[in-house]
Amino acid sequence: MFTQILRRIATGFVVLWVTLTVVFLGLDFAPGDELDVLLSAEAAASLTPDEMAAKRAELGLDRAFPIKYGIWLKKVVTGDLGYSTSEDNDIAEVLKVTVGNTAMLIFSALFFGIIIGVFFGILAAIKENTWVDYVIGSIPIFIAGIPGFILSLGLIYTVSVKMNLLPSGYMHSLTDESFLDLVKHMILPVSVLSLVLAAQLVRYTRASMLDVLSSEFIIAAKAKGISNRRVTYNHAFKNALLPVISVVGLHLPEIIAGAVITETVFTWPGMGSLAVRAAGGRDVPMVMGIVIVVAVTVIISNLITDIAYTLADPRVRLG
Amino acid sequence: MSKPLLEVSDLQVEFNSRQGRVTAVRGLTYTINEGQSMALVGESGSGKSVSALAILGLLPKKTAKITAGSIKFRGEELIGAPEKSMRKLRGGSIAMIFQDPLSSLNPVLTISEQIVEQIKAHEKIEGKKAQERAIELLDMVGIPSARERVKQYPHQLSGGMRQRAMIAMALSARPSLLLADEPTTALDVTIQAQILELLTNIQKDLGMSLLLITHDLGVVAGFTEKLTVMYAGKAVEQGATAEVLGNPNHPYTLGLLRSIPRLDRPRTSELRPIQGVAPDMSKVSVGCAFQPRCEYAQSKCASESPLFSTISKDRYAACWYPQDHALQDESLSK
Repeated sequence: MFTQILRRIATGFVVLWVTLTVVFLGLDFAPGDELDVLLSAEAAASLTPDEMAAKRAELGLDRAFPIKYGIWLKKVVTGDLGYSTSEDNDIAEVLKVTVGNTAMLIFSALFFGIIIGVFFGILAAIKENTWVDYVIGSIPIFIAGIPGFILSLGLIYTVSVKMNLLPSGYMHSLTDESFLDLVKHMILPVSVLSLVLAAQLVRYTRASMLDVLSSEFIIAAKAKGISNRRVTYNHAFKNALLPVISVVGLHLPEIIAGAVITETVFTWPGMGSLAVRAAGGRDVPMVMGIVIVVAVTVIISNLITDIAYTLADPRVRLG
Repeated sequence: MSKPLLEVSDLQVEFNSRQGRVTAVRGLTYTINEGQSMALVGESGSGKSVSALAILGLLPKKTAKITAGSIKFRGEELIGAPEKSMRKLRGGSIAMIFQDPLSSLNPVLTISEQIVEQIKAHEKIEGKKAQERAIELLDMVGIPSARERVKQYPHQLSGGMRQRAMIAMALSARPSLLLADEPTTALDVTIQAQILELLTNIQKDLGMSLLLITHDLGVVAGFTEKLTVMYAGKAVEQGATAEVLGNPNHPYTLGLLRSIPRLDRPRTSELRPIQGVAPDMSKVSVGCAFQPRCEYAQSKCASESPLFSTISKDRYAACWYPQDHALQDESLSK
């Protein structure tokens, strides 16, 4: 099992390297270079081609492709992602703050989304073909049918504007930096993200649970005289969880992408808003920095999914 | 004469399917005494497994319904008994083992977890002691190095080992009746004999009653005292195993025996399969269900259903024209 996890980690590094290389190629092949970003259009126009070439040499931009690639890769690995023109700050510094803010949203959304989705999924499966099942089954379709930003705007309109219960955006109130204030600001964006996740998980959990509940070992478990509770949770749920783990892993990139839009609507100072600003400001190195962070996140989350799956299913563990 | 342990009389089970109502069991009557073993034989879809699940009250609630009859265990009615007392019986006084041990063991729980859980469901016992008991049980059913095996998962055991583990589990609360639903069907032929031997040895050692459900007459022959043959959801013949196999009264039993290759018959003799196919269980039949396939059928068979009645001492059959064919069966019924 240990070697299996090591192998997965090694694969993760290979995938990361390939991603970084693709990112670099994207940067390198794109028209214009660092010099164009550093110089204003007027400054560039006032320089002769010779002077431009000298500047390029100064910045190391005239070196051969493999050398440039090597230098870039070394910089990235040591955490130097360059300078952001749109944020006017070191990219790594900017990311450190925003990634933390986004992680706060995403982890809360994962936590509540999984709990809500799995709980109602099991409930729907146990109460199959009753009104409970029908209600639980139809709400996710409704939620999935509404784009996340409409849902966000709807919540802002009703909860913040009409009922004046919760703040409509940002992380903190101007005068209040307390934890409670932060939680108040988190409720709406986290609700949107976790509802969207839960809506998908409910259906997967229900299907997976029904599938397991009809298997022979459930009848065999009942024939042992153990309580229904034990049959449901110890026998059925443990097995039904396996496909749900994969689904959460598969949906993680989607959740991160969803966070981009949700953050923008709620003006949450995270990676999502940052990406939108960077793209708007044509800040290519910043966008690339974000791409790298997302890639690393996806690779890590896949790794965690694999490990979780290995822990949950003994057949995978040893086979 | 020992006391009756399980009395099933005129049991009828109905299923609601998309094609309409299917009466899977249409009248099944038998008694198993304490310490007795009985085989329930019939082809696929004849209602034998359904009738076993009915005893434990484990029929799917949404689709199946017991429409008539009674199931008495130690004189107490089980149909409609409260869930709490049924749960005590399940895995306690009445244990069950299933056809495919791989699909009837939970893949994500260790053998130990699955046995201990059953022990704990039926008595107050410390975890450590239950664990020790689990190892003893595995030892008893002939699993080598039980102490290591007990920590493993079902997929790490071979088919025969898994079925042994299932049996160990079933025995964990010292049941007085063991329901074995085709316990050897999913196993290799060589393992089949070992498992059957294990079952009958344990049955005799523990003085337990055994209901062996099978479609294989060969399995029945040496292993059970009593035999009930089912056709289309009904008991068609019943009696001591050796007598039924040696001198079948019902044409269906006779047909089954004639269609089995036998070592004591010349190799050139042809097998005689039963003509036709088993009836559609969603249709209501008038007359004897076997009549369309029966070579002895007469006009009465098509209009009136024969009752399950006494033919001779301790022999029952549901047939208007019971046959009397002594087969040279010494080899089968030894």
